[in-house]
Amino acid sequence: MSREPVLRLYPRPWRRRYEDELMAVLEARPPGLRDRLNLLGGALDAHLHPWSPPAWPAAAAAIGGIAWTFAGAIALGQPVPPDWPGYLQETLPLFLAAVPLLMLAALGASTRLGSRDPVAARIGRPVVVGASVAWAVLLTVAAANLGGGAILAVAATGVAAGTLLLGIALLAADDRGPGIALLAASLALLVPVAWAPVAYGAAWTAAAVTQLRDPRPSGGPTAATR
Amino acid sequence: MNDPVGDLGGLAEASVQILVVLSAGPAHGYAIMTEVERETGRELGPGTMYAALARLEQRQLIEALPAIDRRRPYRLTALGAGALEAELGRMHALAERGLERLRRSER
Repeated sequence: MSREPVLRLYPRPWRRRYEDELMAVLEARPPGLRDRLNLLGGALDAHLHPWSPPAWPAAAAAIGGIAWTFAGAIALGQPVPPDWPGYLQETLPLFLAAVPLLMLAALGASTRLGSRDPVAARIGRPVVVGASVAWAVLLTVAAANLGGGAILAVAATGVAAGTLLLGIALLAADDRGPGIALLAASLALLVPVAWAPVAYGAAWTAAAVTQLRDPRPSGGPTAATR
Repeated sequence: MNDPVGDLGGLAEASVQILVVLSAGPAHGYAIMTEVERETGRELGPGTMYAALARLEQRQLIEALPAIDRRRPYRLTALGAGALEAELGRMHALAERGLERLRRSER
C-alpha cells in the first residue's frame, strides 16, 4: 500500500515515531472517507499538541504584534474625522494582514499546554478561529469601502473572548508570561480608546518575547521508542 | 497531574477504552481498534486512536514494546493501571448513583 497522503499532514517527529505502525493498521483496514477525516483531525491534534516547542507561534506573534502596533501608531497619529473607515483606510491592509497572523499566534500559544486539553482551550481555539475569519472578512469589506463597521466590533469581541480563554488556560497551567500577555491583548481589544490598537499589538509582541524566553517543551514518547 | 485521564478532554473516552483493552495484556494498534469496537459497539477512528496512544505514552500510562513486523504492541504501565482503576472507580460510582436515582424515580 502506498503512503496515505493524509499522513503527510502530521508533524515530522510524530511521523517518525508512529507512521509505520499506523500504516500497518491502515493496511489491515483500508481507510474510507470517515477514517481519512478522522486522520485529518488527528493531524490537527498533533500540531496543537507538539512534543517540542515549535518556532512558528512566537514568529506569528512577533510579526503580527509589530504590524498591529505599527498600524495602530499610524492611526493614533492622524487627525480623527468621524466617518468610517475614514482615516483608517490607509492602515486597514496592515491590520488585515495581522489578523490571520495573530489567529495563528493564539493557536500557537495554546500548543504550550502540551498534552493537556482544558475546557478553556477547547472552547477558546474555535472561538478565535471563527471570530478571526469573520474579522478578516469584515476588514476586507471595510477596506473596499463597502461598510461593515458596526459588526467589526462583534468580531473583535469574539477574538477577545477566545484569546481571553486561551490566556486563562495558560495561567491555569502556570505559564504566566504568555498567559498574562494574552489576557492583556484581549483586554486591549475591549477598551474603546484610541491607543487600544497599539496596546493590542504591544501585548502580542510581549507574548512573542515571553515565548522565546521560555520555550516550553511538552515532551514526546520516551526516547527508546522513537 | 491529579487526573491523568480525565484532563485529556476529547480523548478521555478513547483513552479509557484503550486502557481497558490493554488491561488484558499487550496489544498493537489494529488489535486495540478492533477490540474497542467489539467491546463498545462504537467505531474508533485511526486518527483518534493514535492521538490517544501518543498522549497515553507521553504520560507514561502505557509503554511501547519492540515492533514486530511494523506492528508495535503497547503495554499498560503500573501508573496506567492505577489511573485506570481510579477512572473506572469514578465511572462505577457515577453509574451506581444514576441507576439508584432511576430506580427511586420509578417507584
